[in-house]
Amino acid sequence: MRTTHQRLRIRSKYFGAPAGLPIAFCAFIIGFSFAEPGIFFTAADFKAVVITESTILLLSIAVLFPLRAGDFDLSVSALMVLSGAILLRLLGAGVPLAIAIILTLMSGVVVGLFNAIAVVKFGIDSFIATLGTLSLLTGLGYFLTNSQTLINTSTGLSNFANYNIGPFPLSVYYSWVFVIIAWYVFQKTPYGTYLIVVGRDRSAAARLGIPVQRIRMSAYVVASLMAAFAGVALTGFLGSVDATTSAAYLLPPYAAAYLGSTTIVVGEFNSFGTLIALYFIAVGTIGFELMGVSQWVGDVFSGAALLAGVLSSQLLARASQRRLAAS
Amino acid sequence: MKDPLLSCEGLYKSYGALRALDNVSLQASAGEVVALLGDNGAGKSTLVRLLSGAERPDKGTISMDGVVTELSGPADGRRKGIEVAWQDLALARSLDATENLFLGKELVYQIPIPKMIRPLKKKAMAAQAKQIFDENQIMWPHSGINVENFSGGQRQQLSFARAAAWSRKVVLMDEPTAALSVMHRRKVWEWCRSVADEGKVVIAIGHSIDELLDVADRVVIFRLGHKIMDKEAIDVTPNEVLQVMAGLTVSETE
Repeated sequence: MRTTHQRLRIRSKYFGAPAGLPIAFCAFIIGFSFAEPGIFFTAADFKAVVITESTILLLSIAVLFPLRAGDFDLSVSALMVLSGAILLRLLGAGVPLAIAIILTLMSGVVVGLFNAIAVVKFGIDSFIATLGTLSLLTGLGYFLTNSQTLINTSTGLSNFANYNIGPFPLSVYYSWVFVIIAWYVFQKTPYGTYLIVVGRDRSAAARLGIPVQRIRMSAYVVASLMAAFAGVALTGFLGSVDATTSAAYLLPPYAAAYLGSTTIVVGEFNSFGTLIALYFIAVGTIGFELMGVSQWVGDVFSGAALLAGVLSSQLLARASQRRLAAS
Repeated sequence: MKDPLLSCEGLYKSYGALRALDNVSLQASAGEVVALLGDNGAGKSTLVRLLSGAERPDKGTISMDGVVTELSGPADGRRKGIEVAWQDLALARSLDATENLFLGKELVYQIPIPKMIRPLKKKAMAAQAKQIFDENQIMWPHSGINVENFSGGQRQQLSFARAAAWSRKVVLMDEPTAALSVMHRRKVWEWCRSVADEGKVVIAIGHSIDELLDVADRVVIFRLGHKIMDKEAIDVTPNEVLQVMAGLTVSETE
Protein backbone atom coordinates (compact mmCIF):
# COMPACT_ATOMS: atom_id res chain seq x y z
CA MET A 1 0.00 0.00 0.00
CA ARG A 2 1.32 3.40 -0.92
CA THR A 3 2.35 5.91 1.72
CA THR A 4 0.67 9.29 1.76
CA HIS A 5 3.83 10.87 0.41
CA GLN A 6 3.96 8.47 -2.51
CA ARG A 7 0.31 8.97 -3.28
CA LEU A 8 0.76 12.74 -3.25
CA ARG A 9 3.80 12.53 -5.51
CA ILE A 10 2.11 10.27 -8.00
CA ARG A 11 -0.99 12.38 -8.06
CA SER A 12 1.16 15.39 -8.72
CA LYS A 13 2.79 13.69 -11.67
CA TYR A 14 4.32 17.03 -12.64
CA PHE A 15 7.82 18.23 -12.14
CA GLY A 16 7.95 20.47 -9.08
CA ALA A 17 7.93 18.79 -5.70
CA PRO A 18 4.67 19.09 -3.78
CA ALA A 19 6.87 19.52 -0.72
CA GLY A 20 8.46 22.68 -2.14
CA LEU A 21 6.28 25.11 -0.30
CA PRO A 22 6.39 23.42 3.09
CA ILE A 23 10.17 23.20 2.76
CA ALA A 24 10.39 26.89 1.91
CA PHE A 25 8.17 27.59 4.87
CA CYS A 26 10.46 25.73 7.25
CA ALA A 27 13.48 27.39 5.70
CA PHE A 28 11.95 30.78 6.33
CA ILE A 29 11.20 29.98 9.96
CA ILE A 30 14.69 28.63 10.55
CA GLY A 31 16.32 31.50 8.67
CA PHE A 32 14.40 34.20 10.47
CA SER A 33 14.97 32.50 13.83
CA PHE A 34 18.69 32.77 13.24
CA ALA A 35 18.43 36.35 12.03
CA GLU A 36 16.35 37.48 14.96
CA PRO A 37 17.05 35.04 17.77
CA GLY A 38 14.69 35.38 20.66
CA ILE A 39 12.36 37.63 18.72
CA PHE A 40 11.38 35.31 15.94
CA PHE A 41 9.87 32.71 16.03
CA THR A 42 7.97 32.51 19.27
CA ALA A 43 4.70 30.78 19.91
CA ALA A 44 3.20 34.21 20.34
CA ASP A 45 4.25 35.06 16.78
CA PHE A 46 2.56 32.01 15.36
CA LYS A 47 -0.53 32.67 17.43
CA ALA A 48 -0.64 36.27 16.18
CA VAL A 49 -0.31 35.15 12.57
CA VAL A 50 -3.09 32.61 12.88
CA ILE A 51 -5.43 35.06 14.56
CA THR A 52 -4.75 37.96 12.21
CA GLU A 53 -5.02 35.83 9.10
CA SER A 54 -8.23 34.03 10.01
CA THR A 55 -10.41 36.37 7.97
CA ILE A 56 -8.18 36.27 4.91
CA LEU A 57 -8.10 32.50 5.26
CA LEU A 58 -11.89 32.47 5.04
CA LEU A 59 -11.79 34.64 1.93
CA SER A 60 -9.08 32.45 0.43
CA ILE A 61 -11.18 29.32 0.86
CA ALA A 62 -14.15 31.21 -0.55
CA VAL A 63 -12.41 32.04 -3.83
CA LEU A 64 -11.27 28.44 -4.25
CA PHE A 65 -14.77 27.42 -5.32
CA PRO A 66 -15.10 29.63 -8.42
CA LEU A 67 -11.37 29.22 -9.14
CA ARG A 68 -11.70 25.45 -9.34
CA ALA A 69 -14.65 25.93 -11.67
CA GLY A 70 -12.51 28.11 -13.91
CA ASP A 71 -13.98 31.45 -12.84
CA PHE A 72 -12.82 34.49 -10.93
CA ASP A 73 -14.67 36.23 -8.14
CA LEU A 74 -12.89 39.48 -7.39
CA SER A 75 -15.78 40.89 -5.39
CA VAL A 76 -15.42 38.84 -2.20
CA SER A 77 -13.30 41.44 -0.40
CA ALA A 78 -15.82 44.22 -0.95
CA LEU A 79 -18.68 41.89 -0.08
CA MET A 80 -17.00 41.02 3.19
CA VAL A 81 -16.75 44.66 4.24
CA LEU A 82 -20.24 45.45 2.94
CA SER A 83 -21.63 42.51 4.91
CA GLY A 84 -20.12 43.97 8.05
CA ALA A 85 -21.78 47.27 7.29
CA ILE A 86 -25.13 45.58 6.63
CA LEU A 87 -24.83 43.69 9.88
CA LEU A 88 -24.04 46.73 12.00
CA ARG A 89 -26.82 48.76 10.38
CA LEU A 90 -29.29 45.93 11.12
CA LEU A 91 -28.12 45.70 14.70
CA GLY A 92 -28.35 49.47 14.98
CA ALA A 93 -31.96 49.25 13.83
CA GLY A 94 -32.72 46.90 16.70
CA VAL A 95 -32.74 43.60 14.83
CA PRO A 96 -31.79 40.68 17.12
CA LEU A 97 -28.25 39.35 16.51
CA ALA A 98 -29.18 35.92 15.18
CA ILE A 99 -31.65 37.34 12.68
CA ALA A 100 -29.27 40.09 11.69
CA ILE A 101 -26.59 37.51 10.94
CA ILE A 102 -28.98 35.40 8.91
CA LEU A 103 -30.11 38.43 6.90
CA THR A 104 -26.50 39.38 6.29
CA LEU A 105 -25.72 35.91 5.02
CA MET A 106 -28.77 36.04 2.79
CA SER A 107 -27.58 39.28 1.28
CA GLY A 108 -24.37 37.41 0.53
CA VAL A 109 -26.39 34.80 -1.33
CA VAL A 110 -28.07 37.57 -3.33
CA VAL A 111 -24.71 38.97 -4.37
CA GLY A 112 -23.54 35.47 -5.25
CA LEU A 113 -26.56 34.98 -7.48
CA PHE A 114 -25.94 38.36 -9.07
CA ASN A 115 -22.39 37.34 -9.95
CA ALA A 116 -23.57 33.92 -11.06
CA ILE A 117 -26.19 35.29 -13.42
CA ALA A 118 -23.86 37.90 -14.87
CA VAL A 119 -21.09 35.40 -15.55
CA VAL A 120 -22.89 32.15 -16.29
CA LYS A 121 -26.21 33.23 -17.75
CA PHE A 122 -25.14 36.40 -19.52
CA GLY A 123 -21.71 35.11 -20.38
CA ILE A 124 -19.79 38.16 -19.21
CA ASP A 125 -16.11 37.40 -18.62
CA SER A 126 -15.81 36.54 -14.94
CA PHE A 127 -12.81 38.76 -14.32
CA ILE A 128 -14.57 41.82 -15.69
CA ALA A 129 -17.99 41.04 -14.30
CA THR A 130 -16.76 40.53 -10.75
CA LEU A 131 -14.49 43.55 -11.07
CA GLY A 132 -17.69 45.45 -11.75
CA THR A 133 -19.38 43.89 -8.76
CA LEU A 134 -16.34 44.75 -6.67
CA SER A 135 -16.71 48.37 -7.60
CA LEU A 136 -20.45 48.31 -7.02
CA LEU A 137 -20.13 46.72 -3.60
CA THR A 138 -17.30 49.01 -2.57
CA GLY A 139 -19.50 51.99 -3.39
CA LEU A 140 -22.40 50.45 -1.50
CA GLY A 141 -20.07 49.96 1.44
CA TYR A 142 -19.24 53.66 1.51
CA PHE A 143 -22.90 54.47 1.16
CA LEU A 144 -24.01 52.23 4.01
CA THR A 145 -21.29 53.41 6.37
CA ASN A 146 -21.70 57.02 5.33
CA SER A 147 -17.94 56.94 4.70
CA GLN A 148 -17.35 56.66 8.42
CA THR A 149 -16.18 53.90 10.69
CA LEU A 150 -19.13 52.07 12.20
CA ILE A 151 -18.63 50.75 15.71
CA ASN A 152 -20.03 47.48 16.99
CA THR A 153 -21.82 47.74 20.29
CA SER A 154 -23.16 44.20 20.45
CA THR A 155 -21.31 42.02 22.92
CA GLY A 156 -23.02 39.03 21.37
CA LEU A 157 -21.37 39.76 18.04
CA SER A 158 -18.06 40.39 19.74
CA ASN A 159 -18.25 37.05 21.51
CA PHE A 160 -19.24 35.36 18.26
CA ALA A 161 -15.78 36.15 16.98
CA ASN A 162 -13.62 36.70 20.04
CA TYR A 163 -14.72 34.12 22.58
CA ASN A 164 -11.53 32.21 23.40
CA ILE A 165 -11.35 28.45 23.39
CA GLY A 166 -7.84 27.43 24.38
CA PRO A 167 -5.28 29.72 22.76
CA PHE A 168 -7.50 30.98 19.92
CA PRO A 169 -10.67 33.02 19.49
CA LEU A 170 -13.64 31.47 17.72
CA SER A 171 -12.90 33.26 14.46
CA VAL A 172 -9.76 31.12 14.07
CA TYR A 173 -11.72 27.93 14.55
CA TYR A 174 -14.34 29.09 12.04
CA SER A 175 -11.62 29.49 9.43
CA TRP A 176 -10.17 26.05 10.17
CA VAL A 177 -13.61 24.44 10.02
CA PHE A 178 -14.11 25.94 6.59
CA VAL A 179 -10.71 24.65 5.49
CA ILE A 180 -11.73 21.15 6.57
CA ILE A 181 -15.20 21.34 5.04
CA ALA A 182 -13.71 22.61 1.77
CA TRP A 183 -11.19 19.77 1.85
CA TYR A 184 -13.97 17.24 2.25
CA VAL A 185 -16.08 18.79 -0.52
CA PHE A 186 -13.16 19.09 -2.94
CA GLN A 187 -11.53 15.71 -2.34
CA LYS A 188 -14.31 13.42 -1.23
CA THR A 189 -17.45 14.38 -3.10
CA PRO A 190 -18.71 14.35 -6.69
CA TYR A 191 -19.22 18.12 -6.47
CA GLY A 192 -15.53 18.66 -5.82
CA THR A 193 -14.64 16.55 -8.85
CA TYR A 194 -17.21 18.31 -10.99
CA LEU A 195 -15.74 21.73 -10.05
CA ILE A 196 -12.37 20.72 -11.46
CA VAL A 197 -13.80 19.11 -14.58
CA VAL A 198 -16.03 22.13 -15.24
CA GLY A 199 -12.98 24.31 -14.83
CA ARG A 200 -10.64 22.38 -17.11
CA ASP A 201 -12.69 20.23 -19.46
CA ARG A 202 -15.94 22.08 -19.59
CA SER A 203 -17.15 20.64 -22.89
CA ALA A 204 -16.45 17.10 -21.72
CA ALA A 205 -18.28 17.79 -18.48
CA ALA A 206 -21.35 18.98 -20.38
CA ARG A 207 -21.40 15.96 -22.67
CA LEU A 208 -21.15 13.59 -19.73
CA GLY A 209 -24.24 15.08 -18.18
CA ILE A 210 -22.58 17.22 -15.51
CA PRO A 211 -24.77 20.31 -14.90
CA VAL A 212 -22.10 22.84 -15.83
CA GLN A 213 -24.15 25.99 -15.34
CA ARG A 214 -25.48 24.87 -11.98
CA ILE A 215 -21.98 24.00 -10.78
CA ARG A 216 -20.52 27.35 -11.84
CA MET A 217 -23.40 29.30 -10.34
CA SER A 218 -23.31 27.39 -7.07
CA ALA A 219 -19.58 28.13 -6.78
CA TYR A 220 -20.35 31.85 -6.87
CA VAL A 221 -23.07 31.52 -4.27
CA VAL A 222 -20.81 29.53 -1.95
CA ALA A 223 -18.00 32.07 -2.34
CA SER A 224 -20.30 34.97 -1.56
CA LEU A 225 -21.90 33.19 1.36
CA MET A 226 -18.46 32.58 2.85
CA ALA A 227 -17.47 36.18 2.19
CA ALA A 228 -20.56 37.39 4.02
CA PHE A 229 -19.73 35.09 6.92
CA ALA A 230 -16.18 36.44 6.91
CA GLY A 231 -17.70 39.92 7.16
CA VAL A 232 -19.69 38.90 10.22
CA ALA A 233 -16.65 37.33 11.88
CA LEU A 234 -14.34 40.23 10.99
CA THR A 235 -16.76 42.82 12.33
CA GLY A 236 -17.08 40.90 15.57
CA PHE A 237 -13.31 40.54 15.75
CA LEU A 238 -12.39 44.15 15.02
CA GLY A 239 -15.44 45.69 16.62
CA SER A 240 -15.87 48.03 13.70
CA VAL A 241 -16.42 48.38 9.97
CA ASP A 242 -14.36 50.70 7.82
CA ALA A 243 -15.22 50.80 4.14
CA THR A 244 -11.71 51.90 3.18
CA THR A 245 -10.19 48.60 4.31
CA SER A 246 -11.60 46.33 1.61
CA ALA A 247 -8.79 47.04 -0.86
CA ALA A 248 -6.27 45.32 1.39
CA TYR A 249 -8.26 42.09 1.17
CA LEU A 250 -8.38 41.91 -2.62
CA LEU A 251 -5.12 40.20 -3.54
CA PRO A 252 -3.99 38.13 -0.53
CA PRO A 253 -6.69 35.46 -0.99
CA TYR A 254 -5.59 35.02 -4.60
CA ALA A 255 -1.94 34.90 -3.66
CA ALA A 256 -2.75 32.17 -1.14
CA ALA A 257 -4.99 30.26 -3.57
CA TYR A 258 -2.48 30.21 -6.41
CA LEU A 259 0.55 29.56 -4.27
CA GLY A 260 -1.44 26.89 -2.43
CA SER A 261 -2.01 25.03 -5.67
CA THR A 262 1.69 24.17 -5.71
CA THR A 263 1.43 21.94 -2.68
CA ILE A 264 -0.62 19.12 -1.12
CA VAL A 265 -2.63 18.57 -4.30
CA VAL A 266 -0.27 20.00 -6.89
CA GLY A 267 -1.84 21.68 -9.86
CA GLU A 268 -5.24 21.92 -8.22
CA PHE A 269 -6.65 24.70 -6.06
CA ASN A 270 -6.97 23.00 -2.68
CA SER A 271 -7.77 24.12 0.83
CA PHE A 272 -4.86 22.79 2.92
CA GLY A 273 -2.38 24.06 0.35
CA THR A 274 -4.04 27.45 0.53
CA LEU A 275 -3.78 27.42 4.32
CA ILE A 276 -0.06 26.65 4.19
CA ALA A 277 0.52 29.28 1.52
CA LEU A 278 -1.36 31.90 3.48
CA TYR A 279 0.55 31.31 6.69
CA PHE A 280 3.78 31.16 4.69
CA ILE A 281 3.16 34.60 3.19
CA ALA A 282 2.16 36.01 6.58
CA VAL A 283 5.16 34.54 8.39
CA GLY A 284 7.48 35.81 5.65
CA THR A 285 6.03 39.28 5.87
CA ILE A 286 6.32 39.41 9.64
CA GLY A 287 9.82 38.01 9.50
CA PHE A 288 10.93 40.79 7.18
CA GLU A 289 9.15 43.39 9.26
CA LEU A 290 10.84 42.17 12.43
CA MET A 291 14.15 42.54 10.68
CA GLY A 292 13.39 46.20 10.50
CA VAL A 293 12.77 46.54 6.79
CA SER A 294 10.17 48.99 5.64
CA GLN A 295 6.43 48.50 5.42
CA TRP A 296 6.46 48.08 1.67
CA VAL A 297 8.29 44.78 2.01
CA GLY A 298 5.02 43.11 2.93
CA ASP A 299 3.43 44.22 -0.33
CA VAL A 300 6.46 43.19 -2.37
CA PHE A 301 6.62 39.79 -0.73
CA SER A 302 2.89 39.24 -1.14
CA GLY A 303 3.02 40.31 -4.76
CA ALA A 304 6.02 38.10 -5.40
CA ALA A 305 4.22 35.17 -3.80
CA LEU A 306 1.19 35.77 -5.99
CA LEU A 307 3.30 35.95 -9.13
CA ALA A 308 5.25 32.85 -8.14
CA GLY A 309 2.01 31.03 -7.49
CA VAL A 310 0.39 32.05 -10.76
CA LEU A 311 3.57 31.32 -12.70
CA SER A 312 3.84 27.83 -11.25
CA SER A 313 0.18 27.24 -11.98
CA GLN A 314 0.60 28.24 -15.59
CA LEU A 315 3.81 26.28 -16.04
CA LEU A 316 2.07 23.23 -14.70
CA ALA A 317 -0.87 23.83 -17.00
CA ARG A 318 1.36 24.29 -20.02
CA ALA A 319 3.33 21.17 -19.17
CA SER A 320 0.11 19.23 -19.09
CA GLN A 321 -0.93 20.65 -22.47
CA ARG A 322 2.39 19.61 -23.96
CA ARG A 323 1.94 16.18 -22.52
CA LEU A 324 -1.53 15.88 -24.01
CA ALA A 325 -0.33 17.12 -27.38
CA ALA A 326 2.61 14.75 -27.45
CA SER A 327 0.56 11.65 -26.72
CA MET B 1 -42.06 -7.55 -35.47
CA LYS B 2 -40.04 -6.17 -32.62
CA ASP B 3 -39.63 -2.41 -32.32
CA PRO B 4 -36.23 -1.08 -33.22
CA LEU B 5 -34.14 -0.39 -30.15
CA LEU B 6 -33.31 3.10 -31.35
CA SER B 7 -34.97 5.07 -34.09
CA CYS B 8 -35.48 8.62 -35.18
CA GLU B 9 -38.13 10.09 -37.41
CA GLY B 10 -37.97 13.28 -39.44
CA LEU B 11 -35.12 14.96 -37.59
CA TYR B 12 -34.28 18.53 -38.51
CA LYS B 13 -31.44 20.55 -37.03
CA SER B 14 -30.16 23.94 -38.10
CA TYR B 15 -27.38 26.09 -36.79
CA GLY B 16 -28.39 29.55 -37.82
CA ALA B 17 -28.67 29.50 -41.59
CA LEU B 18 -26.95 26.14 -41.89
CA ARG B 19 -29.28 23.15 -42.22
CA ALA B 20 -27.23 20.36 -40.62
CA LEU B 21 -29.90 17.66 -40.70
CA ASP B 22 -32.78 17.59 -43.15
CA ASN B 23 -35.62 15.17 -42.55
CA VAL B 24 -33.48 12.31 -41.30
CA SER B 25 -35.06 9.03 -40.28
CA LEU B 26 -33.16 6.01 -39.12
CA GLN B 27 -33.80 2.72 -37.37
CA ALA B 28 -31.44 0.43 -35.56
CA SER B 29 -32.26 -2.90 -34.00
CA ALA B 30 -30.64 -4.61 -31.05
CA GLY B 31 -27.43 -6.34 -32.06
CA GLU B 32 -26.86 -4.12 -35.09
CA VAL B 33 -23.74 -2.23 -35.96
CA VAL B 34 -24.74 0.73 -38.12
CA ALA B 35 -21.98 2.52 -40.00
CA LEU B 36 -22.52 6.23 -40.64
CA LEU B 37 -20.55 7.51 -43.58
CA GLY B 38 -20.36 10.79 -45.36
CA ASP B 39 -18.15 13.67 -46.17
CA ASN B 40 -17.32 16.42 -43.69
CA GLY B 41 -20.34 18.53 -42.95
CA ALA B 42 -22.72 15.75 -43.97
CA GLY B 43 -24.49 15.79 -40.62
CA LYS B 44 -23.13 12.62 -39.01
CA SER B 45 -21.77 14.25 -35.87
CA THR B 46 -24.92 16.33 -35.56
CA LEU B 47 -27.00 13.16 -35.56
CA VAL B 48 -24.82 11.70 -32.82
CA ARG B 49 -25.24 14.85 -30.75
CA LEU B 50 -29.02 14.64 -31.12
CA LEU B 51 -29.22 10.93 -30.37
CA SER B 52 -27.09 11.36 -27.25
CA GLY B 53 -29.21 14.16 -25.89
CA ALA B 54 -26.38 16.68 -26.08
CA GLU B 55 -28.60 18.78 -28.33
CA ARG B 56 -32.29 18.91 -29.11
CA PRO B 57 -33.70 18.56 -32.61
CA ASP B 58 -35.62 21.47 -34.12
CA LYS B 59 -38.22 19.03 -35.40
CA GLY B 60 -38.75 15.30 -35.34
CA THR B 61 -38.74 12.56 -32.75
CA ILE B 62 -36.41 10.00 -31.26
CA SER B 63 -37.78 6.69 -30.04
CA MET B 64 -36.46 3.86 -27.96
CA ASP B 65 -38.10 0.45 -28.19
CA GLY B 66 -40.85 2.05 -30.21
CA VAL B 67 -41.70 4.64 -27.56
CA VAL B 68 -41.15 8.30 -28.39
CA THR B 69 -38.48 9.59 -26.03
CA GLU B 70 -37.56 13.12 -25.20
CA LEU B 71 -33.90 13.49 -24.23
CA SER B 72 -33.63 16.50 -21.97
CA GLY B 73 -29.87 16.49 -21.97
CA PRO B 74 -26.79 14.29 -21.99
CA ALA B 75 -27.49 13.17 -18.42
CA ASP B 76 -30.92 12.01 -19.53
CA GLY B 77 -29.45 10.15 -22.47
CA ARG B 78 -26.97 8.38 -20.19
CA ARG B 79 -29.76 7.52 -17.78
CA LYS B 80 -31.68 5.94 -20.65
CA GLY B 81 -28.76 3.75 -21.55
CA ILE B 82 -27.21 5.77 -24.38
CA GLU B 83 -23.47 6.32 -24.18
CA VAL B 84 -21.09 8.06 -26.52
CA ALA B 85 -17.45 7.54 -27.35
CA TRP B 86 -16.72 11.10 -28.48
CA GLN B 87 -14.18 11.94 -31.12
CA ASP B 88 -12.17 14.06 -28.69
CA LEU B 89 -12.71 11.36 -26.04
CA ALA B 90 -14.38 13.69 -23.50
CA LEU B 91 -11.97 12.68 -20.76
CA ALA B 92 -11.14 14.88 -17.77
CA ARG B 93 -7.40 15.36 -17.95
CA SER B 94 -6.91 16.05 -14.26
CA LEU B 95 -8.59 12.86 -13.16
CA ASP B 96 -7.26 9.33 -13.19
CA ALA B 97 -8.72 6.40 -15.11
CA THR B 98 -11.09 5.28 -12.38
CA GLU B 99 -12.39 8.78 -11.79
CA ASN B 100 -12.93 9.24 -15.51
CA LEU B 101 -14.73 5.92 -15.73
CA PHE B 102 -17.16 6.99 -13.05
CA LEU B 103 -17.45 10.62 -14.12
CA GLY B 104 -21.11 11.52 -13.88
CA LYS B 105 -21.91 8.12 -12.42
CA GLU B 106 -20.04 8.21 -9.14
CA LEU B 107 -20.86 5.77 -6.35
CA VAL B 108 -21.69 7.59 -3.15
CA TYR B 109 -22.77 6.62 0.33
CA GLN B 110 -26.50 6.81 0.84
CA ILE B 111 -26.91 9.49 3.48
CA PRO B 112 -29.66 12.11 3.59
CA ILE B 113 -27.78 15.06 2.13
CA PRO B 114 -27.81 16.33 -1.47
CA LYS B 115 -26.36 13.71 -3.75
CA MET B 116 -23.49 15.83 -5.06
CA ILE B 117 -21.96 16.33 -1.64
CA ARG B 118 -22.28 12.78 -0.41
CA PRO B 119 -18.96 11.04 0.25
CA LEU B 120 -17.55 9.03 -2.64
CA LYS B 121 -17.25 5.29 -2.27
CA LYS B 122 -13.69 5.21 -3.53
CA LYS B 123 -12.90 1.60 -2.62
CA ALA B 124 -16.07 0.28 -4.24
CA MET B 125 -15.38 2.30 -7.37
CA ALA B 126 -11.80 1.05 -7.47
CA ALA B 127 -12.99 -2.55 -7.25
CA GLN B 128 -15.64 -2.13 -9.92
CA ALA B 129 -13.20 -0.26 -12.13
CA LYS B 130 -10.66 -3.04 -11.83
CA GLN B 131 -13.25 -5.51 -13.11
CA ILE B 132 -14.20 -3.30 -16.04
CA PHE B 133 -10.61 -2.49 -16.91
CA ASP B 134 -9.62 -6.16 -16.77
CA GLU B 135 -12.46 -7.01 -19.16
CA ASN B 136 -11.27 -4.30 -21.51
CA GLN B 137 -7.62 -5.28 -21.16
CA ILE B 138 -6.62 -1.98 -19.71
CA MET B 139 -3.42 -2.90 -17.92
CA TRP B 140 -2.02 0.52 -17.21
CA PRO B 141 -2.47 2.18 -13.76
CA HIS B 142 -6.10 2.61 -12.88
CA SER B 143 -5.65 5.29 -10.27
CA GLY B 144 -3.20 7.85 -8.97
CA ILE B 145 -2.01 8.99 -12.38
CA ASN B 146 -4.03 11.50 -14.34
CA VAL B 147 -5.10 10.43 -17.78
CA GLU B 148 -3.31 13.27 -19.54
CA ASN B 149 -0.11 11.34 -18.89
CA PHE B 150 -1.19 8.44 -21.02
CA SER B 151 -0.98 7.93 -24.76
CA GLY B 152 -3.77 8.69 -27.20
CA GLY B 153 -4.42 4.99 -27.69
CA GLN B 154 -4.67 4.34 -23.98
CA ARG B 155 -7.06 7.23 -23.53
CA GLN B 156 -9.13 5.96 -26.43
CA GLN B 157 -9.32 2.55 -24.76
CA LEU B 158 -10.62 4.26 -21.65
CA SER B 159 -13.21 6.21 -23.60
CA PHE B 160 -14.55 3.01 -25.16
CA ALA B 161 -14.46 1.09 -21.90
CA ARG B 162 -16.48 3.83 -20.27
CA ALA B 163 -19.06 3.91 -23.06
CA ALA B 164 -19.43 0.13 -23.07
CA ALA B 165 -19.57 -0.22 -19.31
CA TRP B 166 -22.40 2.26 -18.84
CA SER B 167 -24.40 1.71 -21.97
CA ARG B 168 -27.43 -0.47 -21.53
CA LYS B 169 -28.83 0.01 -24.98
CA VAL B 170 -26.87 2.21 -27.36
CA VAL B 171 -23.25 3.08 -27.99
CA LEU B 172 -22.58 5.97 -30.35
CA MET B 173 -19.05 6.26 -31.66
CA ASP B 174 -17.73 9.37 -33.37
CA GLU B 175 -14.64 8.58 -35.46
CA PRO B 176 -13.39 5.98 -33.00
CA THR B 177 -10.34 5.04 -35.01
CA ALA B 178 -9.23 8.44 -36.22
CA ALA B 179 -6.06 8.53 -34.13
CA LEU B 180 -5.19 4.86 -34.11
CA SER B 181 -2.79 2.58 -35.94
CA VAL B 182 -4.00 -0.24 -38.17
CA MET B 183 -3.65 -2.90 -35.53
CA HIS B 184 -5.55 -0.86 -33.00
CA ARG B 185 -8.27 -0.05 -35.51
CA ARG B 186 -8.99 -3.75 -36.05
CA LYS B 187 -9.33 -4.20 -32.31
CA VAL B 188 -11.78 -1.31 -32.11
CA TRP B 189 -14.02 -2.79 -34.77
CA GLU B 190 -13.88 -6.18 -33.11
CA TRP B 191 -14.84 -4.50 -29.91
CA CYS B 192 -17.77 -2.81 -31.68
CA ARG B 193 -18.94 -6.18 -32.87
CA SER B 194 -18.77 -7.68 -29.39
CA VAL B 195 -20.69 -4.78 -27.87
CA ALA B 196 -23.43 -5.21 -30.46
CA ASP B 197 -23.46 -8.94 -29.83
CA GLU B 198 -24.49 -8.14 -26.25
CA GLY B 199 -27.78 -6.96 -27.71
CA LYS B 200 -26.96 -3.27 -27.93
CA VAL B 201 -27.06 -0.90 -30.86
CA VAL B 202 -23.74 0.47 -32.03
CA ILE B 203 -23.75 3.44 -34.37
CA ALA B 204 -20.30 4.28 -35.60
CA ILE B 205 -19.08 7.22 -37.64
CA GLY B 206 -16.01 6.45 -39.62
CA HIS B 207 -14.08 7.27 -42.75
CA SER B 208 -12.48 3.99 -43.68
CA ILE B 209 -15.04 2.36 -45.95
CA ASP B 210 -13.37 -1.04 -46.08
CA GLU B 211 -13.10 -1.40 -42.33
CA LEU B 212 -16.63 -0.20 -41.73
CA LEU B 213 -18.17 -2.51 -44.31
CA ASP B 214 -16.33 -5.36 -42.64
CA VAL B 215 -17.87 -4.84 -39.23
CA ALA B 216 -21.19 -3.14 -39.97
CA ASP B 217 -24.56 -4.79 -40.47
CA ARG B 218 -25.94 -1.68 -42.14
CA VAL B 219 -24.41 1.20 -43.99
CA VAL B 220 -25.99 4.65 -43.91
CA ILE B 221 -24.62 7.47 -46.02
CA PHE B 222 -25.22 11.15 -45.38
CA ARG B 223 -24.70 14.02 -47.72
CA LEU B 224 -25.30 17.68 -46.88
CA GLY B 225 -27.71 16.84 -44.10
CA HIS B 226 -29.71 14.24 -46.03
CA LYS B 227 -29.68 10.49 -45.69
CA ILE B 228 -29.00 9.29 -49.20
CA MET B 229 -28.39 5.60 -48.66
CA ASP B 230 -29.44 3.04 -46.07
CA LYS B 231 -28.66 -0.55 -46.99
CA GLU B 232 -27.51 -3.83 -45.53
CA ALA B 233 -23.74 -3.97 -45.60
CA ILE B 234 -23.73 -7.20 -47.58
CA ASP B 235 -25.74 -5.51 -50.33
CA VAL B 236 -23.16 -2.86 -51.09
CA THR B 237 -19.63 -2.77 -52.33
CA PRO B 238 -16.94 -0.34 -51.22
CA ASN B 239 -16.90 1.15 -54.69
CA GLU B 240 -20.60 1.85 -54.66
CA VAL B 241 -20.30 3.48 -51.24
CA LEU B 242 -17.49 5.68 -52.47
CA GLN B 243 -19.43 6.78 -55.51
CA VAL B 244 -22.54 7.56 -53.51
CA MET B 245 -20.55 9.53 -50.97
CA ALA B 246 -18.96 11.58 -53.70
CA GLY B 247 -22.36 12.22 -55.18
CA LEU B 248 -21.52 10.53 -58.43
CA THR B 249 -24.54 8.25 -58.51
CA VAL B 250 -28.09 8.66 -57.39
CA SER B 251 -28.98 6.03 -54.83
CA GLU B 252 -32.32 4.77 -53.57
CA THR B 253 -32.80 4.83 -49.87
CA GLU B 254 -33.94 1.65 -48.17
